[in-house]
Amino acid sequence: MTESVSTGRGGLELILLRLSQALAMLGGLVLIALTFITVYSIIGRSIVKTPWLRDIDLINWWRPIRGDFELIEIGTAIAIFSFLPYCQMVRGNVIVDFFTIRTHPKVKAALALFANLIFLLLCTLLTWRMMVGTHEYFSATFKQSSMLLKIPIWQPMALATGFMSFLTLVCLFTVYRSAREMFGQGEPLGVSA
Amino acid sequence: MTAVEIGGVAFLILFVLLAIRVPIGVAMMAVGFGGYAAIAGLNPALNTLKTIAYERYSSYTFSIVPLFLLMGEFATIGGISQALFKAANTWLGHRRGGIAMAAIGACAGFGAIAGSSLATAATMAQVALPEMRRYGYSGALATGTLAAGGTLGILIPPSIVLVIYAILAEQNIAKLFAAAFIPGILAAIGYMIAIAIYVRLYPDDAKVTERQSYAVRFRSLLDIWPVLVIFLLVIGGIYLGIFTPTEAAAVGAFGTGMLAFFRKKLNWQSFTLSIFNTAKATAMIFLIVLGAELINRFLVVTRLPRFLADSISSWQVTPIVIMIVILIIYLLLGCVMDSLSMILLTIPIFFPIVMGLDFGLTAEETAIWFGIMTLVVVEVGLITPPVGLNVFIINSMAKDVPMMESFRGVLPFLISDLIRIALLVAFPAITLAALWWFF
Repeated sequence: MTESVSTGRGGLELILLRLSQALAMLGGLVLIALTFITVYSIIGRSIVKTPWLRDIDLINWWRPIRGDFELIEIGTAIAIFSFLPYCQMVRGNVIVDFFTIRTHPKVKAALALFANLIFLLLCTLLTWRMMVGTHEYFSATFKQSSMLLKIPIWQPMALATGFMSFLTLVCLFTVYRSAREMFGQGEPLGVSA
Repeated sequence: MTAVEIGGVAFLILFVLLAIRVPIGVAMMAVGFGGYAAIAGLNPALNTLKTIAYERYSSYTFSIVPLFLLMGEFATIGGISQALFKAANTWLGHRRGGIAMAAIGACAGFGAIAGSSLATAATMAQVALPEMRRYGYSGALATGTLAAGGTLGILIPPSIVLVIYAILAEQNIAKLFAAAFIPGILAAIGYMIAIAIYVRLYPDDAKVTERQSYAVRFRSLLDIWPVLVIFLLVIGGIYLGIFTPTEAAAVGAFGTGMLAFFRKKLNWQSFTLSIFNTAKATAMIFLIVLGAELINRFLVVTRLPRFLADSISSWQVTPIVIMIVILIIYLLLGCVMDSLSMILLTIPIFFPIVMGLDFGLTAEETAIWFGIMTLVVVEVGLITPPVGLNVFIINSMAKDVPMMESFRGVLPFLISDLIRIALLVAFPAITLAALWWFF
């Protein structure tokens, strides 16, 4: 199911696919790290709260991780942003195909071209605004940061903006891909939804 | 144009964009941003874009979604579906239609550790479909059962759709999960009754297998203890207040991951597959989440929800009629849209309307009751023609069964769904009982 991009995969497509997969894998590892942090913290919290557990020398050093909630927030945000390019690359974004289910693959490709153009426009806009937003946080005299760990908010935002830029690049490619399909064989079967 | 009129026009444009295959999240973003700019001005609209995505994606409550998805993916590769089906089958397999009932039972069990329907349907089909075909179950019954059984993945908590509802409606996730439990069990029982009646009417559609001894039956339960442990840990942990729902999702993902690891099902290939599937599902959902956030900011400035809520409450119709109309709208929308997009798109509009009505319940009870009913009706959309996603998935796995057969096979389950919906509407107590007991 992951390798649903088939038909005439060019070098560029393969490079972008691998890059987006690598990025998604990074996000996946972040998520997994979050599960470890959470489980570690919950156990630590239970030990601190429970007197008889606290008396066991073997584990009485165990404490919840400081700022675990913040780590979850920042980590998930990073993970989500890192997943977006992969989803666009493998045409994973859900559409309503009820009204167009019987149209010619070339018509589908033309409509996909239109949709991808809108998405490209929105992504460009969003990336530009996120750059501005990140810069504002970065250059503010009072730097907003997370409550316990004091992670300045511009740092994860900068990373997210970087991932957004890559999504914009992928969007640009999918515009090209749809255009090529429109003039070629049309949209390959069974790739959406 | 007044703001309300702009709101109306914008929704028209949104539906046109959706109809011509613009991805749901993209269409919502475009209309939300465009509409907000039209009313509030371009600069305020551009300013919201600076932080809206990061703020939304880094919200603690939303973190639960990718973690639950990861949990479901690990549960899928853990091979636990096999053990669940085997256990259910030793108990039920000897009845007429028993293997189908076992598949429903196993789906319910899998639904208790996974929060999404498609995953449940697809995983269970891999084990139960060959078995049913081997024992001469008709294509219609076999595929219909699994498509319907898949919806249990979301009806039985944990449930991603319910999580999204909880966030949008600002309700307590633990209470919603508790409330979903009885309707979820009812769904499983209703499906089994549907099978029993179906095979009574068409005895040729299913053969019977040999009865298993109770020793075998109880032994089969030993294989599914991890499911029970993970479910109790996740759900129990939330209720006892040991951890937050988000932490519960992380614990669940950790648990199913360990399960897959210790059952030696975790290799590089299955691991990457589960990560990529999580990535795809998460990205798809969060693009819609961002679109919904933009639409919501736009809706607030149009004052459209307020306008609709006010005009509807001035109609002097019985509240229950309006509730039924809303549920019918969901059933119709469900024929063309997927459940999450529907919830994200409509709750901001319908929720204020429903909350403005008097059902003789407290505000929280109304919100929870409405949430469960919404969950139930949007899930029906997964098995209704023309775009029942569950039916498509199962049908694609059963190569020899024509699509029409599968939709015919789903019919008894649809009837069961409609009866259950009527019951839930008529008796809010079914939904709220768990709430009164636990909280």
